Amino acid sequence: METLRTLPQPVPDDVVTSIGLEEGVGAFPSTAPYRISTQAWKGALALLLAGGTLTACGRLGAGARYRGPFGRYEAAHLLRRAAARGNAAEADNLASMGLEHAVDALLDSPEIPEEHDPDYFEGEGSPDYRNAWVNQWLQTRTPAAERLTLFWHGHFVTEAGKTGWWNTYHKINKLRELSLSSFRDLLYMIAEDPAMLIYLDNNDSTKEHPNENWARELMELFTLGEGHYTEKDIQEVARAFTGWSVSWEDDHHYFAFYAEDHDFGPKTVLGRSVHNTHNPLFEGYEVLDILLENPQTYLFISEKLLKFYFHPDPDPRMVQVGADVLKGGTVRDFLKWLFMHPEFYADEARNALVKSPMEYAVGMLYAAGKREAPEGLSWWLRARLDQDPYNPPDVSGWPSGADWLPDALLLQRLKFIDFATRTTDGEPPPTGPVDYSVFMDGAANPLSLVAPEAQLL
Amino acid sequence: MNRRNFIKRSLFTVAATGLVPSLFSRTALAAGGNGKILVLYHLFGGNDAVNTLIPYAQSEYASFRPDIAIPSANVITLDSSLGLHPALQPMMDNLWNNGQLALISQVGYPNHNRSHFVSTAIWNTGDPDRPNKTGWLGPYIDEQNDPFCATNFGSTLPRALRGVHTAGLSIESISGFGLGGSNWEGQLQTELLRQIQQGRHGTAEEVRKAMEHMLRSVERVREMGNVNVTPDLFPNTSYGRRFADIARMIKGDFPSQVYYASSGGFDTHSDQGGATGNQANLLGQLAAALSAFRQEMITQGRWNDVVVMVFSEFGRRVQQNASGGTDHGKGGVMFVTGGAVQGGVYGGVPALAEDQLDDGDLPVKVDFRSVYAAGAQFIGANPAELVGAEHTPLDLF
Repeated sequence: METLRTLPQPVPDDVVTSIGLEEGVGAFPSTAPYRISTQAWKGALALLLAGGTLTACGRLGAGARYRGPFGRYEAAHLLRRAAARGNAAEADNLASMGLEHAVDALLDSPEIPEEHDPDYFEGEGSPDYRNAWVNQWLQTRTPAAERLTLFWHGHFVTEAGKTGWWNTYHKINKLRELSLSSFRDLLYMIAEDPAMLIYLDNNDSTKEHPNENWARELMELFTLGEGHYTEKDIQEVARAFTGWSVSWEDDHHYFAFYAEDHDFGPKTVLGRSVHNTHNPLFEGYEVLDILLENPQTYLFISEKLLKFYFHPDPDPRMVQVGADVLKGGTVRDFLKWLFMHPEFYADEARNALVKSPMEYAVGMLYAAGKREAPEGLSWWLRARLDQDPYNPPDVSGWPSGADWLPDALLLQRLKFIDFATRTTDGEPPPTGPVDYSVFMDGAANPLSLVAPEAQLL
Repeated sequence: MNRRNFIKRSLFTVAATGLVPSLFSRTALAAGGNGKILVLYHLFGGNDAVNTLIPYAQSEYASFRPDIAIPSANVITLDSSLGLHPALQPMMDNLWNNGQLALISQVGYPNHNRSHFVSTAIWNTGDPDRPNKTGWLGPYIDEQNDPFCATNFGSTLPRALRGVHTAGLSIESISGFGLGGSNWEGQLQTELLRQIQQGRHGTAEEVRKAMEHMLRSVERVREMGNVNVTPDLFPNTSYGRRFADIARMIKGDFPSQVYYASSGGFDTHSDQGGATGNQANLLGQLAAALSAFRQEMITQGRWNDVVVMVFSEFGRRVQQNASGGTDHGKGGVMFVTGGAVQGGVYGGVPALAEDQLDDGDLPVKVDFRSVYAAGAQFIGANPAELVGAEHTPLDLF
């Protein structure tokens, strides 16, 4: 059982290139290592075939590629969007690599932190779960994986308040590990995740009383989006997942299937028959496969990713091409396509997104030279900036755009400047030139942090 | 141009130049409406109507809910067919017994949506067909053209208070609303005033406008911090603090005619409890805070000028589930109270027999927009404009 809750260590690069992906490491598929030399041409061919009927050769197509200058200015935009954290030296380093190598470097396999047992976080003076994530984001060599993990955590939402802290911590760790993998890997993992099974009450769903919470959110929020299924589909999906639950052993929850709670009758989901009396557990996987074959799933995820990484109102043609890239490949393929896209570097895309409080806090602390969460940060995030990273407001995740900027929150964001930029001995920051160039456009000194651009990505 | 329009216009002229407007008169703005106040309180998650307004006399009640039905002996009986949850005793004593509590039974809208978010959006837009981006109060707020005409307590402004051009104010609480006084924060404020004078475009311009809005709000709200309400009256709960702040702003003549607040915890898929437990705790806190609010309004001489509407995005399934909870349903229950409200049950006694239910849920007998229409009329707004002429105001006053 130990392997079920222990995250595999990152595979050293030399092992990856010599033996390729090792199957069956840990409780879920590992992230496929990214190897340009052997994979890229296949991916490019797949994308060309997938997008060929659309606009592969057009300005918005799968093959569209930014060919303009790539200096500090462009690299700062890329780094801000990808990682929400950085400084001028890092932007210069990316610029010197050239666009494609810079994107590959940012999308390197996530650095995986050591996973601690619950007792590490419990008791007086123990580390705080929220600060642990902020510290990871401040210290990792793969900060883009942290922003992407925040995206997935805001998509496949669980709240620590309901699941227990460690379960959501473990889920976030698994999301980080799979963050750049295929959407299929992510969905399969989350369906079996104890935090999710508890959060959406599937652990209490029985053939006598199917609980529809997971079934509804699986389709409304995780795959298809509202309006692409019927109430009847929800009831049928709930029946297919009856018996998917958790067990409790060695102070941890594990995924468990209880056949005695499963509804063995035939189901129809989105017009497709789901019935497996031989192995009833697989009815759940069959439902996931139906959702994963549905093009609407990729349109929904593509639009959401583009709103998080590109523009609050992405062009439907971008959404369509992004959906094709995602369906035929991985999240890494999707982000690489986007980060090399000419539209990504257009003026309209720059500073078009509002930072969430986590991104705002991490970005400002990093730019201010902090590499560890200051005392009180956890409270600031939860109580004042209104983004407790372990407790999203509800199952639909966090708001975006100007919804982050009602008066009360905007005021707290401005008050946070004082907290984040003070020197460790409590003095106000020096007023001379500082390096906030990746945190925001147009920073001249710490006072510039009140400018609107500081709120933007 | 009348005086009120002139003041509004000068406010926006001032704002456009980036200065903090402090010269417009509060009383002039407050005098714009009819002096009546509408308080909207959202119980987020879907409050279980069947255990709130209880059809205790029907045999199905106990048989559908073996673990969570409230024993008849504990139900506060209203008549031979309906009763209230025992945690609502303060509402019974202070509101119902004074004939000032209207209970809107089986309330909702056609073709009910069981998603929290879609259903909340529908309640906030008043548009079940396709949730608008603007709120049902949006036209009113646009017409007032004043961000202070509606105030939300919370971090995120609900869609109900969003108009096309103007949005309501959103604050966590009166205390602690403002930039601090240190020398360094003073420098930041000076730089902020300089920065927001420069117009931007796109999202940056949205942020700049949000900063202007915030600065205006800070000044107005901070004045309310000096207003005192009856000491030790309000319970020290989130409900109590919210209602105390609303009472403070009413006493301080804050120019809002609409207040909005919400509290969560009602999504009781598991461990809902019966006479005691999770739902009972929440209802008890609400009842105590509402009773204190009534008392304070009477002290201020304003109880007849106020109407409070408590709603939830849907009710819950009549049959309990295996987790000692209930799943999302349709028909819900609203509380409406105020000195001018005619107490009683509106919308009839829910029938729990299987063939009377709508796919296992309470059916919808009262459209929530007819309740909103009554609230709109109360504050002098045009109900037809806000919720459509087909929704005639429920006769609550």
